[in-house]
This record gives sequence, structure tokens and C-alpha cells, in this order.
Amino acid sequence: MFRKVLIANRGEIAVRIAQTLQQMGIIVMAVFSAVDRAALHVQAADEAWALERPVGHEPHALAAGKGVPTQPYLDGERIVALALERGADAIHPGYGFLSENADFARQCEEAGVCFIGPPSEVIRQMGDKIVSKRIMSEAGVPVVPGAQAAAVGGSEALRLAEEIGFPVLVKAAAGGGGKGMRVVESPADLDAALEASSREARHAFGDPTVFMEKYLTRPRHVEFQVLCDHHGNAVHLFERECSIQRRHQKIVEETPSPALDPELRLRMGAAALKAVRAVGYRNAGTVEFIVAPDGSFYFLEMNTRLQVEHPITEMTVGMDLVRAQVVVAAGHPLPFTQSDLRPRGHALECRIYAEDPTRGFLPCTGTIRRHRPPHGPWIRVDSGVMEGSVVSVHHDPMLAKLVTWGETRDEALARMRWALSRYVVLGVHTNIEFLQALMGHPSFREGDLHTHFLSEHTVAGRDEVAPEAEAWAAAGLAHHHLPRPHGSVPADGRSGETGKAVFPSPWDTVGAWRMDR
Amino acid sequence: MKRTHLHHVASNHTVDFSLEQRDGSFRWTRGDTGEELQGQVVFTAPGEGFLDLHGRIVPFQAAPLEVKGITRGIELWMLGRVLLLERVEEAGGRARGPGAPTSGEVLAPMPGTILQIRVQPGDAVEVGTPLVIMESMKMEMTLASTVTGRVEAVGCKVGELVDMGTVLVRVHKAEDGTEGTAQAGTRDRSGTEAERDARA
Repeated sequence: MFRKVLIANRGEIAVRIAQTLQQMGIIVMAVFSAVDRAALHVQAADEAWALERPVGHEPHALAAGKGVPTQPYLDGERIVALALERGADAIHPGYGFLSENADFARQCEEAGVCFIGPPSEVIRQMGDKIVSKRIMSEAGVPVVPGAQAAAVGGSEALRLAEEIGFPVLVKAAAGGGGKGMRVVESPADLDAALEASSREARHAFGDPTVFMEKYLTRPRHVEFQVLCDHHGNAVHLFERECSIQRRHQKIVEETPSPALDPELRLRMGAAALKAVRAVGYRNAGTVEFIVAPDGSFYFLEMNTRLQVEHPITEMTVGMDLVRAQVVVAAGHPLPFTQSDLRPRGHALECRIYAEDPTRGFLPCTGTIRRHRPPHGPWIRVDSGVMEGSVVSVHHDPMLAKLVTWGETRDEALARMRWALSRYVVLGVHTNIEFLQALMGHPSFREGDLHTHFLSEHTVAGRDEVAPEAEAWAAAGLAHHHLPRPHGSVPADGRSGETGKAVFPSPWDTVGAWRMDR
Repeated sequence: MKRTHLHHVASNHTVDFSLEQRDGSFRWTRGDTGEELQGQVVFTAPGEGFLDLHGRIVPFQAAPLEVKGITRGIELWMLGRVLLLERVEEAGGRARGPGAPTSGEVLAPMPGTILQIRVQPGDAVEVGTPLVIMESMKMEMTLASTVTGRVEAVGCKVGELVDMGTVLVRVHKAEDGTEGTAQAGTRDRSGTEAERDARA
């Protein structure tokens, strides 16, 4: 078993991975950028080292500063060097950052540091959407019609598109997140769309290659968790549905998917296993499918990493997936077979973001003044922030994942609504109230989910409801007792009791008040 | 007894109330309706605690509402909802309208980059005079003065990346209560206005 593992990540996932590693008796090594010096993931580790390279350690043959990524967590060379210097025998890449960077995985392999994930060649193949679909298609896994060839425009593209059948979806081969993606309803719009998407793709991913797929209306995104050891054993850990999204950013996930009946689940699970065998997969991963209203399903892509929403699988299957990743990476065979796995109950995850729902969900920056997540049976919070944490423009605005489990979907949902109503965050705007409204929306409760849910339904908040008497009273009373933030000076320039007032002087500074929300 | 005026922007309600407190007991009285709330308040830590309203428990959490290092009021969580309270100056006895910042301050409405600064301290401005042009998420925004008065301070530089809520320009409101109206015939014909026009 590994003695020391370096976590090449930050935020909530780095904290979560550290917890499991420490529980396994493994020494945890964290890395941090300058702005993350006081971050929670640093505090959670046994040792931590700065990512910024000391002066004089720039790579050879490169001018000072060149070749070093502006995002410190992407400095793979530095990370591998730190692992070697400090005696880490494995690296866990988390999700995002370098987790699906085939070059980084190969650097680890070449340096003799175990990369906790699949082989670098598999990462490379699955990272190319066109190549991965071809591999799957050849293995007999259904793929979305038309995704085989890169579209080059002109009459050939038109012929391909007509074969697929309009409307078609134009997508970038090298990346996702909605960039380079366009729906084309009619042949007349095809050339312009291909050109625009190609430009966007080149700008976002450095690769202008685009391809076309049949566009499915009201599609549901259902993904299967897979786990493979180095001894040829592979299992799937059932599905997750991630159908509430905004701008291609996931907001809510759940398992099991309301769209699947037992028969469809069996067929999709079998397809997921066929997929992992087709590429010689190892360690944990996710096979993504798109499901049409008629129940037909197609391979979309494979994610060669642990995913953000993995906790809902852990809650229903009853397994620590990070632990499983480490055990498999250390060379042990899976101690269970597919028939041993029996999921139970229903789990939901809501992602808590620092964003302002009144301003189009624009990401917010600021300092977290109060962070009180809910606690209780079958309530799990994976968070990377605490009181005093600074939410900056440098990183993802996700503050935490709130996960609940129940025997039934209704129970998990009731638990989630309770948990959201108890989750306190002060200092930055969050989407917590939006999530409360979403969880209470009739269509959500029905399980009527699809990727365009938010554009089709209005999720009404309570902004227009006047505060009740209790809130006015508490506000007035609390003003006497506010903790003084560091370094702040009241607008009138007075500082109450000189120097050290923890309870600022109240009524002589109060003027007219306005309830802003 | 201090009376406080509150304006709830989202629901467009204006409320004023008085608050008496003795030991752990309090009485809250709403000015316009006379609605009263009585009970106890228990603080468990600075800015947090619960109300005990004849046995009914209502927890709350409060923290200072800060914008760019300046305390503007308080942020209150209660019953699953976060409410923002801002202290605003009385303006001739009326509560300020929605979105109006205090004493003629112009705040950055979202994070962005300053493109142009049209004024400098000492300049006379009116309601609607453009002060700063900034760019955010590929949109250009012109931020104008909300009061008539004189520019007191400029809190940003051209090319600077500012956070949402940064005070960009502070305008000292003219004392004659002309806030909210542009006055014909009160144009400042001093050299500062001519200079400003020449720079624009």
C-alpha cells in the first residue's frame, strides 16, 4: 500500500480525498498556490508544499516565467518534482486540473510515481471525442448517429448532415462545456454554424476540429460509474442522472435515474462494461450516455477520472470510491463481483455555488463570514471552504456539495429541502434559495427532468415576499451584537470603543435602514 | 427611542420600527401598523442566536454586510432565507429609492475593468452625468451620478480590475436638497466644468 500520496488538486475534492487517505493510514501531501495558503485543503493535509517555483528553478531553455502555467495547479512538471523530492509514491489528481491530462499521467508513469487513475494512453484516446466514439462503435456500443467523421464544411458536410437527419448538433472534438456547440435546424445554416463553432473551438481548446451528431430533443444525461482493477475485473456501480444544468454546468444530480426501469438499467450497465473492456480501462471512471424519450440510449463520452457527483453513488452502493481507487491502484483485485452490488434507496446532490441569482447567476467573489452546513442522519456536506475563506476569481465558485439519502426519492428530497433550509452562508451570495425553490418545483418532484429544465420552467424565489416581523426584530437586535470584521471601519468613520470593540456601538450610528432583499 | 426606517427593495415595502430591549427581553413595534412582537432573544455568539417568542424558537445568524472593506449594514439569515440590510442616509425624511447607494456613491455593479474615468475630484456633476465607463463580461457600461453635487473622490484607476461593489466615485450631494432633479439654470460655469468638457 502507498506510504504517502500527493493530492494534485484543491478545494472540496482535495479535502475529501485527504480524509479517506488519512483513514487508510496514508500520509497526505497537499500542494497549494499563493492565494490558497490558508485554504482548507492545506489544513486538512499532513504536509503541504507551495506550487510556485522558487527563483532559479525555471525549466531549462525557457525564458524566466515562460512555460510555467499561470494556473499553478496545472504545473505538472512541478507537481511530479515535488512528489519525487518529498517521497510521495502516488499522486491522486482529483477532478479537473490535470486529472484528464494524458501528458501528466505519462510524466508520472515515467517518473515512477503511481498515477491513481487509468493508463495515460487510455486518457488520451478517451479525451478525443471522435476517437472515443469510433472505438465504442467498433465495440458494439451504440453511439449517437453521425459522430464518426470530422465535419469540413461544404457539400460533404451537408450530405453527412442529411444522412444524420436535421436538426444536428455541431460539437468541438477537443473539449466540452458548451464551447463550440451549436444546434443547426436547417441546411441553410450549416456552413455558418460549422465555421463559427470551429473558431470557438480553436480559441477554447487550441483545436478547430468539429463534428456533427444527431440532436436529440429533451435528452436526458445518464452516466454509469465504472471501476476496473489491474487483473481484468470490471464492474459498474449503476447510474447517475445529471439533468439539471445551466450553461452546461451541473447543478443537481441523483441516483437512481427516474428515467430508467430495471430492464434499461441492465442493458445500459452491460453497454458500460463493454465500453471499458473496449479501451482496456483501469481504475474509476464514468461512461456517459444520452437517453432519448423513446428509451433508446447512445454513448456520449467517457470521463477518465473521479467525478464531482460521485458521493451519490457512494451513498446508494455503500462504498468509498476514493478508497477503491487507491486499493486498485496499489495492485489489489476487486474484492467483489457485479452480483454482489445491490444499490439501496435514493440519493440527491445539490451543488452550492457562490453566485447571485438576481444577477443572472453571475459568480460572486468575497469572504465567507459564516458557514454553517446542516447536519443530521444521511446528510453529507463535502466542502472546501470555511469561515474566513476567500472566494476569488481564480477558482471555481462551487463552495460545497450537499448530498442526502432516503429510502425513496421523496424521502431524499424532503431531507434535501430540510438541509437547504438550514444551510447558512453569509458573506457571498449563493444559489441556496434558488435550490430550495427548484427542489419544491412540481416538475422536479415528479421526476420530469431533462437538460432544458431551467429554460422551460420558471423557478420562482421568494424575493418579492416582504420579510416577516421576526426578521426585522432579529436584524435590529443583532446589530448590537455583530462581530467586528477585521480591518473594517464603519462608514461614518467612528470605531466605537477605541481599538478593540467586538460589540460595536449600536444606536448612535444607525440611521435609516433598507431591507435589500 | 430611535425610530428606524427600512425599505425592502424586492417587495417595495417601506417599514419603520422601534425596538426596546431590556436584559433578554425585547419589544418590536412597527410604526405604520402598530404591529408588535415581543419575546426574548438569546445570543449564543456574536451575531448569532435565536428568538424565543412565547416558546416558538426562531434561530438567526447575522454578519456585517461589507462592501470593499466598508461596513454598510448587516446580512441576516433566518428561516432559510438571507436578507441584506443597508444603512442609508435619511433624504428629507423619505426612504431612498431602490438601488440608490449612500451619499452619491457609484458602485461597480459587477466585477469588471475600468475603461474611462470622466471626472476628477472637485468637478461639479448633476444627476445623470457620466462618471465612469467600465467593461464586464464583454458589455460596456456607463455609470452616471445619482445625485447633483461635487465629486469628492475617485476610487479607481483606468485599466483596474474591480470587484462588484467597489466604490468607484463618491459624489458629495449638494446641500440644497436638489437630489433627484436636474436643475435648469444651476449649471456650474466654473473652470472645472470647462476642463471636464475639454477632456471628455
